[in-house]
Amino acid sequence: MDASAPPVLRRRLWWHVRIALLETRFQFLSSLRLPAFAVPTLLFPVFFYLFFAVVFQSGGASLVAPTYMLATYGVFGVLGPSIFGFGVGLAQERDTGALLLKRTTPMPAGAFLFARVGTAAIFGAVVVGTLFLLAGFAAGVELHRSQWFSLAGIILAAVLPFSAIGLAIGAWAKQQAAVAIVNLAFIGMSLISGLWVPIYMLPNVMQDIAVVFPTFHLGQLALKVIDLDLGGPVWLHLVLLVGQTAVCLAVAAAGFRRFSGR
Amino acid sequence: MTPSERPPWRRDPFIAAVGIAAFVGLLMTLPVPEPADPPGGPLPETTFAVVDVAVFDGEEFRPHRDVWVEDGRIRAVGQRLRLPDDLPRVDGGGHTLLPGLIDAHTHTYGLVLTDALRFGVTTVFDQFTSPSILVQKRAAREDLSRGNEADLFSAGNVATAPGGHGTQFGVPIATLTTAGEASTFVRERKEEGSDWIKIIWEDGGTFGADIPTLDRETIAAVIEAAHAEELLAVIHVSTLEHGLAALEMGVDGLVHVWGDEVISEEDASRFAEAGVFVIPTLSVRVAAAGESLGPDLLEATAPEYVSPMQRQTLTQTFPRPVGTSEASIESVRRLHAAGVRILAGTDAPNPGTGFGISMHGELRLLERAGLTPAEALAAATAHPPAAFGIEDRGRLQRGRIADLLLVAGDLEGDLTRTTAIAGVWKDGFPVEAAWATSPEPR
Amino acid sequence: MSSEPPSTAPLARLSGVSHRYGNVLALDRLDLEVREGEVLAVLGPNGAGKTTAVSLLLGTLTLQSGAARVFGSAPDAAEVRLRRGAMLQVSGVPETLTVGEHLALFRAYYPSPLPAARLLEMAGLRELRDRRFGKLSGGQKQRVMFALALAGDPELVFLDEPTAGLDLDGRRRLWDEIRGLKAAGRTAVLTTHYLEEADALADRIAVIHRGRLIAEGTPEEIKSRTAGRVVRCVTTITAETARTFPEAAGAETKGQHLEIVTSQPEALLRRMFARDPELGDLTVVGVGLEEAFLALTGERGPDGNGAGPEGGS
Repeated sequence: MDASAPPVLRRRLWWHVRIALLETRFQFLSSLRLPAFAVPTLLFPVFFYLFFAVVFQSGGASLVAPTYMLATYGVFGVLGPSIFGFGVGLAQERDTGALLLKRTTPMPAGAFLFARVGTAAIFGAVVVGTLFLLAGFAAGVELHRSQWFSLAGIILAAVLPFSAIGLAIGAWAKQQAAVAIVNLAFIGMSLISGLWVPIYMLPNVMQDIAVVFPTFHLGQLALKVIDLDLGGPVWLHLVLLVGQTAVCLAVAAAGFRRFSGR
Repeated sequence: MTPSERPPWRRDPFIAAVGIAAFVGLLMTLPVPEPADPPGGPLPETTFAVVDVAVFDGEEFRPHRDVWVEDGRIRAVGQRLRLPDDLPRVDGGGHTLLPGLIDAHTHTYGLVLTDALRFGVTTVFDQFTSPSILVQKRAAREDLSRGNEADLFSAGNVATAPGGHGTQFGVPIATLTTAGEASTFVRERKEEGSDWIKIIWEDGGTFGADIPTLDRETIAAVIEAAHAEELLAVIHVSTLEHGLAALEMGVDGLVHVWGDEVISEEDASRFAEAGVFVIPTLSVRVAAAGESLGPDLLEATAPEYVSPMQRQTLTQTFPRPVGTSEASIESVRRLHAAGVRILAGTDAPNPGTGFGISMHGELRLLERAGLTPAEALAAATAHPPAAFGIEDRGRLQRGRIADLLLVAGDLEGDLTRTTAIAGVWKDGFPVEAAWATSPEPR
Repeated sequence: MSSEPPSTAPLARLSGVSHRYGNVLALDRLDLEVREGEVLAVLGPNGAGKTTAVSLLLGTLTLQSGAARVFGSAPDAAEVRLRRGAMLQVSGVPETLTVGEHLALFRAYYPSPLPAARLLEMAGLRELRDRRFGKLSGGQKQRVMFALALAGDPELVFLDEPTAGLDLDGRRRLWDEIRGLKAAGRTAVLTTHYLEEADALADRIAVIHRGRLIAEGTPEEIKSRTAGRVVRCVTTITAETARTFPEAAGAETKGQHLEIVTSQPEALLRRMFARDPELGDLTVVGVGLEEAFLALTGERGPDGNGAGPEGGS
């Protein structure tokens, strides 16, 4: 080792940005190469939409169904990468020790979170983009430009509250348990919140339960853009979403404290 | 550094920027709806759509609907209809579209059908007019070509006693005096073109007069004869007692509500059980009580939309107040609460009412009597044709005639917005709103 | 090191550190110093507290009592992380990324990382650069973790049981790489329960047992401070009897021979000849680290081999 000056601590923003982007790139590549992750998250929503909204609805007099499903399958499409990436991915990195190793390096914790959220957002954007293309050019859905953008924005913003759910699961559960819990949450929340079957077709009891889940509020906010929601006020959905996300983050934080005190 | 040693992060911002740009580009290429013109300019005719509009379909309000009109009839009503690209569109955002209004109690002469149409009243149920008018206007009901008049359905010549109510207008009319004449009288009315039989039971007692009227036996016989000819029998009464008696005789509907006393809840239930409808004509009841809505309606409406005749009749008053509007309104409240079908009718052009324009006042009066905005509008759209057995209008429904009223605003929240008329279509043709430019009647 | 006082100040230090997991006391007022330029072996049997001590120096465990300083700062300080590398006992990295990608990511964390080619060379991974981590053998994975620990050209490297689970060949290769580190002047902390490993690599050994530092010094110092010699002979004296001798630190039978560890071989031999004049086939040799450790911990396995390279983990 030469006696050069010790490395200067570079706290510049750029350093954080480039590590965040690089982490995101490798997190994305790593997820993409994992068929168990990439195939269901990319294909499920797209195939569901293709069958239920395009094929089954072709020639229908109304575009309500393809438009409705665009919003709900869109939200469903980001739910997968968000909670699987955080829930299972994090549990796995905790179990294998990769997380511990990263904590010994100078990697900023923010970059790690950014990479996971960013990866979920990239997968989400691919799903949303595909759904939108199918909707616009195969199902015949027409929306005002502002509606296309708002819908995409709301759906992609869903990555944040959904990631918080995954974070809470991944911070507590072991990998095997995490897989089970995340699957249960993924399917259960999608179903109850009306992401598969329109919520107004579900029993009222399920609608009452759905209020607990961020998926319901995201679904309603997305549907509000296209005037197909149940009519709840935006502020109420937002307040509940923020509250639910805060609870998830608190649960996750408690999990990490336990982890480092072990 | 050799090329292979170049830090991989150099490319990341570029990749991220390209990815975001590609996503935005994708969003920019997605199809948008064909442009729709806001109401205010020239309105399309016969084949078009009103898109993204709140509708009142005859029963309830439904937000964000598309209404597709084809060749003067409604082809489809629904959310996000798959519309042909070249279909002319009206942007209904912020507006409410409803079936053209149906005034279930008018008296027709002169240009009144044009006056009605300009205010969104696309059909009138006339309760006494000259049979010649009836014949003259009948063809237009089925005809979907361009016109500027409301469609007319009518009782024609009423059943009244010689010298009785209805004979005072200087028009020679057929009368009857005995039960034995009933079936001949009814058959003649049917041949003359009457769509139903209207009976007058009016002794003038409530306004301090003593005028001849049909006796109970004859009234019962006319009702029976009308039913034998498969015609409805409706009746003009001025008192609760006569109304209850007519109910016993099997009448189908009352064309006024009485103003002398308030009906009991039990009696109201009897009307409901018998399925008898009531056209309260509160507009004329309040006018008779000296509380006409005429001045309010004139104030709410730009002068160029009101014809001289509408202005004249709206500002006329009855010689002296008769009865109280409170009693009439309370009776309507009880009838409605009991489940009696209420139909909106103005009895225009009696003093204090105006053709067409008073339907907007009648809706407010029905709301005052406890009907919700949807119930009041149903009384003015879906209910009258249903009560009179007419199927081609009164609802926004596939196959019905495209008689439409478009108003600015949300009627569910504020029924007085009906006067904010943004467009009227008759048989799919837009109607000129200002009276001065209306062409001569055909 | 311009930021450090010259020479003597330790690069890292634990002072009076105790750590509990529930009711189990893992570290008991432990003091440990890492000096610049040395390879320090932290030696101890399983459960001795080696990994706990390293985790506290890495900042991945929260300190309960006592003090931990690395480069004069808290162990998890950002500045410390830039100058330190670590290879953890239980560690994997995402299996779907290649060796080269992992190196690229870790190198990006540091201001002046080692060139990727050099890291690949040092860890013997040149041929494996494009192979996914999940497709590597256990030894190859350990070498990747080793390369990741060195990615930032660290001044101080922590190697927590680096050769655990490796076969003999894999272990020898990693030893060579660790010796390379030392040759490059880096400071390294190595935990192991392989006595042979500590002996072969370390400048200094700290022996930890039940959370306490029980001996510290060069391998030679450790040896000299424990029983100095092994007396080996064929005799009628049993191991049981021999252990009762005041001069004997430990005794056991190996085949026909009796082996006795002692610091006073002359006195011991006088006593033994007095008892068994027929005593034969006598050798007196310096003690190996194995025996030294045995004596220090007072633990004796049934075959006298309580901890050794073949003992496994």
